[in-house]
Amino acid sequence: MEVLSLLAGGFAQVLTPMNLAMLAIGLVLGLVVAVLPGLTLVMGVVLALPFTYAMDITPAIILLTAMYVTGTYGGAFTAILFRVPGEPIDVPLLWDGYTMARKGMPARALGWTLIAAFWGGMLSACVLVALAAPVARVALTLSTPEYFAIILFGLTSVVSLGGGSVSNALISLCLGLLVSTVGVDETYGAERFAFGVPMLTDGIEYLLVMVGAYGIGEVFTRLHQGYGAASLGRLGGLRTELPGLREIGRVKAALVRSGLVGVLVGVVPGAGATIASFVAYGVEGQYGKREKELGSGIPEGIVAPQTAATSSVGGAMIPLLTMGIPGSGATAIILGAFLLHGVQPGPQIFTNPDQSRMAYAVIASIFIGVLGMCLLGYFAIKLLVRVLEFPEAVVSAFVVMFCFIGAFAARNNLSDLYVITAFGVLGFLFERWRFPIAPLVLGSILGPLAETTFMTTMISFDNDWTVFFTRPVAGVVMAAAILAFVLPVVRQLLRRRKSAL
Amino acid sequence: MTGRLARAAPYALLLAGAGVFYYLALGIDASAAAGRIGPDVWPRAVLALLAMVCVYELAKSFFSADARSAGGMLQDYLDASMASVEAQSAAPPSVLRLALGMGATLAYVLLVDVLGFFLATAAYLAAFIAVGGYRRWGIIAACALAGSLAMVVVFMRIVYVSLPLGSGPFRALSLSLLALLGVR
Repeated sequence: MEVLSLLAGGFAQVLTPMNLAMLAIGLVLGLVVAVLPGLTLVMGVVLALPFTYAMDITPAIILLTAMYVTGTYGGAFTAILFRVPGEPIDVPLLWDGYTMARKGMPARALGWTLIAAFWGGMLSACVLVALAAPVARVALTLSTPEYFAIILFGLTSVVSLGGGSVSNALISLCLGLLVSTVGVDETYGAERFAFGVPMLTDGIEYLLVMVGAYGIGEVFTRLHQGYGAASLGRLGGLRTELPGLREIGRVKAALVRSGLVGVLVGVVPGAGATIASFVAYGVEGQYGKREKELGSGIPEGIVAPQTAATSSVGGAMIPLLTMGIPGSGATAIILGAFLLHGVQPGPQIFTNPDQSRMAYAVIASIFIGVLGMCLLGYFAIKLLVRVLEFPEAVVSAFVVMFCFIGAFAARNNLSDLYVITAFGVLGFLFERWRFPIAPLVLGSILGPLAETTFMTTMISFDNDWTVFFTRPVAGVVMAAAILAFVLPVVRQLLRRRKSAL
Repeated sequence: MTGRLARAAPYALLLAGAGVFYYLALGIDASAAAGRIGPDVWPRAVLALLAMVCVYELAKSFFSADARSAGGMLQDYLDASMASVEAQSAAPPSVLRLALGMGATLAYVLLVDVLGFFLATAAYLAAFIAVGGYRRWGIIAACALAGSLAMVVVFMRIVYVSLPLGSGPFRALSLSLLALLGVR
């Protein structure tokens, strides 16, 4: 009951003019960013970050969260209509969404994505409301071995859930962890890898790694590949046609399954909307009633990835708000915004009345944001896809500038521009050599937390590393972490054996 | 053999880097850690893991017939997605374009403190848009000047970010512009 009254207070806060304005701006920007190829939702949230410095914390987090929510939906338009996935999240929509559009039912395909995004968003917001406070209460009872195990689970998940080579993902993760060790260490105050350079003594902020590798690295990659321009043709009859209740009833199992998959994948630190979208499509292919028809333009093939992508948002917000552990790239930036405003997310948020009000305002903004996103998607579709006509060379130049301003404004330090340029080049090289960027970024974000919890555990338990396995919660999560890491290797061995036979 | 060398090159480079940093990590001051694990343990563990993976990949590059590594759980789906996404690029890949873009970016970072934000940004926007292959010069100039000016107004007047003003005559120019815009 207390949760509901806090949520009602959250709704009241969101409906104040400033918060509502930020929500609306976030929704529009999120959709625009998601529609534009070359701009991912993580980059979009990164680019919006510097605009939040002068705001109060509540509108700042509402703006970024709104962009995160709509970023999982906007790319569906271009994927279905023009076979241009605005985001990696939208690739599974090409298989059934674009196919349905080619069968002459583009409006129907867009209708299914709208229903899926609405359901996924609302489901994940409800799960967030139901679980945030209880998880925070549990988190308050956890000690450093449990925290270390949870972080390790996030790190091994991002290595094993990716699409490329596990070795390359592991190397990327190690580099991220190494970056996080630069500067003065938190436990002993010893200087590491700073070489007497003041800018390195302060350490390398993970925001610089993110902005450089995701933002500038992606711009360099696109510049190298050569910019393209989508041909939109005539958009005269473009509209969204909602399916009837009976039709929705026929895909209810897919909606429930993919909604739960999205929330669960979202909760895993390091796994975001893209992974949720692919996993949900895979689950539908394995357990769906019409699994053999997947890829031929059926509603289940549209509903599964879209529902999971949007429902991963609420899931990813759970570890962020309750433990201060970001569940995805976008939540890592939202964590950065929290810290820049002097608030450390974690279980204490739910025990501090002021911060608790702010947290529930953010949660309430997800409900209103999902509704607003669907209304925008339904009524402003023609206008939205027009942004595809912006020349990418112009958009890219401005993206670099916003990356620079974002990096500079965080500490008012020009040296940070060198750091993000260096990470931009590294991001480009990673793309070129097929090293995934997500583990690098997650390593730099979770590295300090992993090291601190590890060192504190070692000091508190007299260097007894078995505590990670003998304490019940830590032991279970450590087992899951090891399993997550070993699974792809075992799968590869089994495949080789099978093909040898 | 050339293919194997090309494949092994990044891992060899990373292994060498890991070796150098491991050596540096041995010199981390661990005197505060009597009887406890010191501040060098974590980075050394990370570097050891990095080196092991590199050695594994190098060995595979030279000695294994199948150089493919174990793929992540989504490997199959991503392979399928690569096949289903059409090439959207209009122009072929160009190293020159990339080098010019990177050069312009580096030049911006080096010069922004001298030229000030407005001038450096206008020049950078124009250069980067042109490097990207866009050739409508009037629009490039408008984007560069209006974009730079808009950013000055938004960040210095509304968001209160103190952007670089430049030095010497460029500083005077920036200050005049700010006075004109009503930024104090």
